[in-house]
Amino acid sequence: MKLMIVDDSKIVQNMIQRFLTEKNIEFAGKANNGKEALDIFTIVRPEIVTMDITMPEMDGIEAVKRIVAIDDSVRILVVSALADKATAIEALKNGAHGFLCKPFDERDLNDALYELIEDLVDE
Amino acid sequence: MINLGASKYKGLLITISFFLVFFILVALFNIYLGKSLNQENERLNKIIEVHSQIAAAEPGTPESFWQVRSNELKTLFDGGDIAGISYTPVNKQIDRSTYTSIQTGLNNLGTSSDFYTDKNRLNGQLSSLENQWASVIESKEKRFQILQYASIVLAILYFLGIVFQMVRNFDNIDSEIEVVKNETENILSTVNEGLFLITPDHEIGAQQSQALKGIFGMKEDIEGNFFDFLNKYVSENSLEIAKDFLGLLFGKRVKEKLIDDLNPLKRVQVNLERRDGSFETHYISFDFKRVLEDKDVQYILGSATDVTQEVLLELELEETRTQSEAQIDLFLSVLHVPPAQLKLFVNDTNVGLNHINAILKDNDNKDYKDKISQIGRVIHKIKGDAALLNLHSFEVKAHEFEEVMAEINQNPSLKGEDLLPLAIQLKNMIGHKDSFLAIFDKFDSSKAELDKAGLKVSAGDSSGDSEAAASPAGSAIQQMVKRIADEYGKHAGVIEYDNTQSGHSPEDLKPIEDSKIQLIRNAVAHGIERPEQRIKSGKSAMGTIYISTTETNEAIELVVKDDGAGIDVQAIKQKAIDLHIITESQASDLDDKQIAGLIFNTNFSTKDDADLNAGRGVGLNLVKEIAKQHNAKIGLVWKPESYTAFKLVFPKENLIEANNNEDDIS
Amino acid sequence: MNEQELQVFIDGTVNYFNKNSKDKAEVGSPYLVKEFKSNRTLFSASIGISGKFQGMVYLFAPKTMLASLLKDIGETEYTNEYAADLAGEAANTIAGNARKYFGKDFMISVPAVHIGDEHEILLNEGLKTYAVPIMWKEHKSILLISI
Repeated sequence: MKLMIVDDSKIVQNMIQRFLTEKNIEFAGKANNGKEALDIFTIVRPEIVTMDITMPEMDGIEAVKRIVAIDDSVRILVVSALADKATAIEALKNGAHGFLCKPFDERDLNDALYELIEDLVDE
Repeated sequence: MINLGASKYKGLLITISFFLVFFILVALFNIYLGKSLNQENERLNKIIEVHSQIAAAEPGTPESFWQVRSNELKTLFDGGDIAGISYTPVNKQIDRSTYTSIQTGLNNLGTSSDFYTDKNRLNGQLSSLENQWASVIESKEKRFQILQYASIVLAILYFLGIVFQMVRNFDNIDSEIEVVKNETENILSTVNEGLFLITPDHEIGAQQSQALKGIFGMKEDIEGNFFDFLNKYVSENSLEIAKDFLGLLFGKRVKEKLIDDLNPLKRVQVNLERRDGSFETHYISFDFKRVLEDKDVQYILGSATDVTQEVLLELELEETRTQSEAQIDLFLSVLHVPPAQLKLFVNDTNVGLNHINAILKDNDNKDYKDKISQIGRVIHKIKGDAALLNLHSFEVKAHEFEEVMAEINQNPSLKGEDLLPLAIQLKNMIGHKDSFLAIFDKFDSSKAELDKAGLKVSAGDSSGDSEAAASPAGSAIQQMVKRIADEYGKHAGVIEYDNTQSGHSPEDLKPIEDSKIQLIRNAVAHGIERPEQRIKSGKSAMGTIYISTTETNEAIELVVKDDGAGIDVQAIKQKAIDLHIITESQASDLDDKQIAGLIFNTNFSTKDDADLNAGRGVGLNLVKEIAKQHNAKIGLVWKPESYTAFKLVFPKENLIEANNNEDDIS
Repeated sequence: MNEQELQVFIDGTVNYFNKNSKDKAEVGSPYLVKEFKSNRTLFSASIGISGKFQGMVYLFAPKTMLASLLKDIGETEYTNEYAADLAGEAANTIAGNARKYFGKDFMISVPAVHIGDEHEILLNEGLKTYAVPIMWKEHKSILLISI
């Protein structure tokens, strides 16, 4: 499985990337904003996307909408601070599958990704 | 769980199928029997016909006639067709003797001598054949009837059997349902949480746990639309989010466990009416889970729990935590400061805070900007005192106060209302002071206990209390200077000379002390340069502040001198213009000394950011006020790149009375 | 209580005066009190608060002020009864304003009106009650918020 990271924080990007190397998930690129995310997505077509919805230049919700429009089967995990529940819910309404709250540690990320793709892996 | 599908119904289905098959078989059998009977009757009819033909024959009938009759009889018995009607061979068990003799008789009749006698004999045989046949038919009919009756009875029995089985089945099912219902009811009536189902059209299901209505202080089961029910307890905004949230749960796409954090109903405030009419505030937490049937979301299971205890505990804990942080802070401070000084500080602060309250209260004075300045000076002094004694928490609170004031002050025209935040800050500070006092008292009393027990507890420098009160311990000043210097990334030391006589009360010398503190801070912040700069200018990395307090007959002189960079007249001039304190043209008319004097102006500072220590321009302004209040003269000399020196001369006669002008409403 | 929340009560009071008269009410600088004594006869209206916050809000006004306000409304009788009525109405307005703003966080009781020199009032211990002077025409009233 391939995973793409969309987050404007280098720290978060690195953390998730490090995490992926320990699991059987292939790192499939990182983007700093929604626009980059779309570009990378159309080329790489990962099965999983982590999406920070507080980025500049095309907000996360727009990015989610467009990615889902290209491929509805992608699993999208919204990553954000809890202060903005409404935006997170909006992203979920537009096709994301789950929510992970910042700040998170490796275990939180592990559990979230597991939930996200558990039914795909079982097949 | 009851298995209402599969096996029980299968049994019933099989039984009914068998019954149907049985019924069909019986029907078929009946049809067959009927047909067979029919045939026998036809046979009989034909026999009668043949008989009557034979009976009507006269002698001299041609041989063929007898031949045909014989063939007909043969066909009737051995099977075949006569005139388009087919006959099946007769049952082998039937007695053929009569038939055989009839055949013989028929063959002989053609050549008979005594025609009529033979014919009569034949008639008689034929009649008995008919009778024989009639009774065969009769017995067949009888058997047929019995069979019919039997099958009807069987059918009825079978049917009753089925009905019985069905009734028994349903009875079983009913009692199983009863058991399950009982178990469910037991669970629903015992459980503490309020459990309920939400349908896809957001209606609350009728099956709910007993606890649910109690949690919301209602006597009847809760019904109707879930969101209408919620509307009473949550804001519009939360309700919208809740609708969206449940919408996500009703869909199948989003992963249930991954959106729990977004549940907006984790803490809903509900006000329940007590018996006496007043209200009790409770906190309810809602949890939601999907109820799936074959991968489709049929309902959402809602669970409401009263978490008031937990919430209140949490709030208490939070408060305790903040309090204890403050308390630790205070406690540590208390430990390292001589008690006499602390007492003095608290007293001063008390006086100061009361003074601030008085300023606020004085509503005859509508010059609010002025009020803010006055209050500002008091706070700055408190801040300075706190810094000197290393009472960090007070410093921080005072700083916060100043920030709030600065923000209000930005408003060009002020109304009384705008000062409301100051009353709030004041209340905070008073609260802090009270906590502090509480700890201080505790500490003091426990120290007394320890003293009594023979254990000497030293807190800071407890010797020479009165001197310490009059002039802050040398180490205290050095500590303060070091701390401020550290914050600015500078190095500074202090040399102090003091020849004031003992016998002055602390209150009398206070103005001098206060000024000293402000001037010292100013020296570190503005006077002394950073080590790199000093080295570049050929000085030692560490700057020095010289403080001398000299008493003469008439006055007490305070000099604070630093070996720093002197006064930057140009910078001051520019800043004054930028702050609109003077205009460009005015500036060009002023000489250096006059420009330098601007630093005593309210709100003047050449540092861009206010920080904990100086830079808001209040420090020197405060000094000016103190000097004014006590009729002291201020002198300022400096040499660029070399030194700056402030000198204050306090006439002794003014020192002693000028301290008691403020209302005390404490 | 934070600034906005206190402001709700102040606004309620100011609105009441402004709605009923051409002259605008003015708010003085608030300060703290721990008790309240007055040397003249005042009308007081008190509102109880429970829920997220617990406490009392008092409005003290002299009769002259109430009489003047009565006149502005168009009344010709200035008895104590009418004045008390007015005080109660003012308190009701404040309470209603508060209910509208705070909504489900607060339970606000029906105002009680009292006349006299001595007013038994419950204030927080120590200097913890906010006193907000509200001036209208030449009269002065005090809004006490003890929460």
